[in-house]
Amino acid sequence: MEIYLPIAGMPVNVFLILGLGALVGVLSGLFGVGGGFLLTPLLIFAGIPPAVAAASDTNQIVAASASGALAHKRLGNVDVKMGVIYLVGGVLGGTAGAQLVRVLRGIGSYDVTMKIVYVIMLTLVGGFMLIESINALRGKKKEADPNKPSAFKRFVQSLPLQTEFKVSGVRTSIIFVVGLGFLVGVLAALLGVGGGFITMPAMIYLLGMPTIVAIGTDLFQIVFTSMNVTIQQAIANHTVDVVLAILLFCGSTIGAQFGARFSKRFRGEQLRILLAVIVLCVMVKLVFDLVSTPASLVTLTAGGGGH
Amino acid sequence: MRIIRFLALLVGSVYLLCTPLALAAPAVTVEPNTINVGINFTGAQTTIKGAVPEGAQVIIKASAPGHPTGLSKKGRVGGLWMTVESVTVDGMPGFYQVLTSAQMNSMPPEVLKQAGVDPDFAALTGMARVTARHEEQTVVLDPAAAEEYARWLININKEKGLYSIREGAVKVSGSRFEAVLDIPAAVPRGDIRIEVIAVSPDGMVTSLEPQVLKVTSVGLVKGLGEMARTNPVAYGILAVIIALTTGLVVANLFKYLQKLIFKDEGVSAHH
Repeated sequence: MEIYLPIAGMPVNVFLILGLGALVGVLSGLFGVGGGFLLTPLLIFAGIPPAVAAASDTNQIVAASASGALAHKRLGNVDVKMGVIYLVGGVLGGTAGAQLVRVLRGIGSYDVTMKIVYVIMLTLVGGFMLIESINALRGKKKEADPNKPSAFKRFVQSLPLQTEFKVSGVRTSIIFVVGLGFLVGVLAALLGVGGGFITMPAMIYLLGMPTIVAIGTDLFQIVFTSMNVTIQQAIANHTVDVVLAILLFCGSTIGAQFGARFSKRFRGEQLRILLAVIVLCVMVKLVFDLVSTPASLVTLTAGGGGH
Repeated sequence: MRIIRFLALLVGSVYLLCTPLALAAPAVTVEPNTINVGINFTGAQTTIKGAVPEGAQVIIKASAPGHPTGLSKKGRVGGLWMTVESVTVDGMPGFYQVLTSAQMNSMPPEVLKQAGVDPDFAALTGMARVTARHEEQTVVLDPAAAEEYARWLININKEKGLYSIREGAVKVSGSRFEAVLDIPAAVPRGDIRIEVIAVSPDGMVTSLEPQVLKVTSVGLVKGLGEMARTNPVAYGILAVIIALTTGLVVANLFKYLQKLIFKDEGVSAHH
């Protein structure tokens, strides 16, 4: 069954899009991450113009994160104070990111910039998770010395506006939280991701938040960041395809229910290794595209394909 | 007598009414003559038929104006394939299909020239105006470079089914001709002009009255497409509201389903 996408200006197979959504939904249910960082490249592989894929994916994340955040709020896993401060940075970053997309598309280097940033992020996150989870599986524990804080921790503690976050049980600088939000906001606009795969490790490893509160708070702030980025993309680039977004969300919701049930059969370290391997596979495919001779030397500029 | 006179008057007036209609009736019909692009559109077909002199060869040209199109050329920079030049191609049609009843090389060249058709899209490459942006300046490319980009665009449009040349696709039997035009999913909205040229065996060339095939968006495709272009702020807000509503409805739906099927408060509540 085919459906014509009004903004992408092309027909797609409904079951292919539902299937891609479901695949990413299973993964996000399994690992507790948004999965947007996998969906955008999958949509591009499926022939959706890159700019439409990224913007519509962000639109889909609004739906997915709202549904997840509501569940976590009921369980008391959302640090609203942390989320709101982080959001201030996220909204500023998202606005700057959408303008950056417009400039890059104007000079025609959006696609390649997006792919390079992707490769770097996927390598860093995938590599870090793989090493961390293999070490955890071998039973090695991080030998952190609480008496000798790292240079990074000393730097964060030296920043002004230190404040207490009760739900997370941490004390840190507002400036650091806003800065982290800004960085992730720029990436969210550029890559069409909610930023969960960057925010989550940052909240756990850099802010020291408990994993479950990090997941809940991350989903809470993603609702607002992705709302902002969706509207910015609609204004600056006219690339949000709401029909595509709803199809993806329908697939991912169903997938997420299965994923959440599968996840109880695995150990946390096994899940993280599996996720790391998937992330690294996507990275390898993107690198392959950058270094191998393209099928056609001249292509329509991204976002082309009309109304 | 009165009845006969009345009937004669009736027949006469019907005749008078019909004659101008019969004269104005187009020699070419396009059926259907409107293509609606809706949410289930995957492409369409339309049949072009009509009358031509006995034994004539037929050339059908269907074309629609295009918009300036952006093209990116990839090149190797530091081992990576990236965009090295971005150009805008203007003056090329948005839709261009040529259907003939025989191989073009068996037809008089001056007729092909007059019709603006050839077996190799050469008529199009000459129409292209290609500009490149170098730094902040817009530069018009020389004809050789312009032709190269025009050729790439022709290939892209051929793949999308927007451009094609199909020799022998028009069937002629006696004084009737018939051809089926394929309308691909990527067809631009607007009017497609259909021109038919007949070449009689004695070499006489007749241009039949051109017809118009309308391509319009309907329903959701029209509503969303127009809104995204003319009122992007409202469109963005609508997209967000639709997503939020869907998300919250689905979250509550699954909570309800879990209660119903598993008779519990949901999986996570117990862990």
